[in-house]
Amino acid sequence: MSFVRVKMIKTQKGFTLIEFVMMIAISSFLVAGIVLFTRQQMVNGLQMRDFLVASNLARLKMAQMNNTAYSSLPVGTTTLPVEPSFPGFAAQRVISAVATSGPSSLRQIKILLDYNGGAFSSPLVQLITYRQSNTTFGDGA
Amino acid sequence: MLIAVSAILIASTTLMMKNAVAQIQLQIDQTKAYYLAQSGVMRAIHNWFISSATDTSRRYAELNTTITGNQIFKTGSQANFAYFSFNSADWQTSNTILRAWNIRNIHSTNSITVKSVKISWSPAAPGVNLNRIRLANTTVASGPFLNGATIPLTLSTLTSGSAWGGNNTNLRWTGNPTATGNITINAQWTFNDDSATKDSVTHNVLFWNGAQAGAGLPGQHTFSVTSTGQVNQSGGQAFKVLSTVKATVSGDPSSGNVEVIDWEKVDKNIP
Repeated sequence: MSFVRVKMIKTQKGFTLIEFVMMIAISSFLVAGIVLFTRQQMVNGLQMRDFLVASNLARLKMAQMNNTAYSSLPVGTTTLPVEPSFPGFAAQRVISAVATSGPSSLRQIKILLDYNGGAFSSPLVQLITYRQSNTTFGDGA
Repeated sequence: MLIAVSAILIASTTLMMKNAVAQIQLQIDQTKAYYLAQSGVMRAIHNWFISSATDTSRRYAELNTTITGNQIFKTGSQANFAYFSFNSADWQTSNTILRAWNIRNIHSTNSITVKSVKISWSPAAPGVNLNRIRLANTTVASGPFLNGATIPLTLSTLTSGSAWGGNNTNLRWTGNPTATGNITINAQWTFNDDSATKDSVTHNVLFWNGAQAGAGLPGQHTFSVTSTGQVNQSGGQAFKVLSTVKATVSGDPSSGNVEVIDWEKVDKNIP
């Protein structure tokens, strides 16, 4: 009799109910974690892409400022045209006077890049430079 | 097993993303630093503009300016303060001495010390060498020196506001010059902090067959400025992104026109 029972135990296959429930629970946590992690990484990836695009757009705008006549860079805040290929971004130019003396004046040029509709209070990228009046960039500039 | 593999996967992906974010931030900070360096160049030109209208007192101050919290520009190696004027330079009659060129220290307080100079001339003339360099009647190098050679000089210092000039500041060539026509002379001066100028001058004179007097380059004003933009990265890290611009500026501020004729950029990250 006891012989038969031993044999039955040795040939038992599959999981017990408790094992099965445990497995489901652990798997659920694991899958949930991976899903949340993946979602977060996708958000990070999109932010990285936005920073990169904003950075390049800011450089482009700054290069345009360097090739704009000083007289066309008045003090004040100006919304710059949106690049057609990047409709999700907006650019702003802020020019302020740093110093003026006689025929010479120095202005600070700030380029701000933000999401379209953003308030530029916390821009994605901000570049700052100065421009001096009566000064041009020659060869190699 | 599954948990271990997942953990490794998550950790490696997180690291990869973190590095990618840091790389993009670095690129942005490099761009910021470059434009900050440009700010320093423009500030130096402004100071040059507003200084006195006479060549002898034009200068610009050494700068170390914080624009916003972590964005800074700096100018100020010795070569920044060597101001060259060739208004009165000429050739000594029937000789091969270029004289009366002028180097002035335009720093408001500090001295500058020149330690070498690289001089080249074009067109080259066979057998013609630079023989002597004099600064204010002191011979600081004796040749012969080949065309394009870097010539070590007896260390010579200019105090703030002082200058070398006059007929006893000159370069002398020897040989058997026969060529005629214009000659271009380029001189690059190196100072004892290893900063260097990028000045050049063209003299429209008949040269090797007997020079003509009083034919120096008219109205040439140049100076070189090295400006470094600096971004101190956030997060309390002692990490700076530097972008240095070395610009050569030409023109006459009193005429209201100045041109940046040369622009060289170097990026550097300092951990």
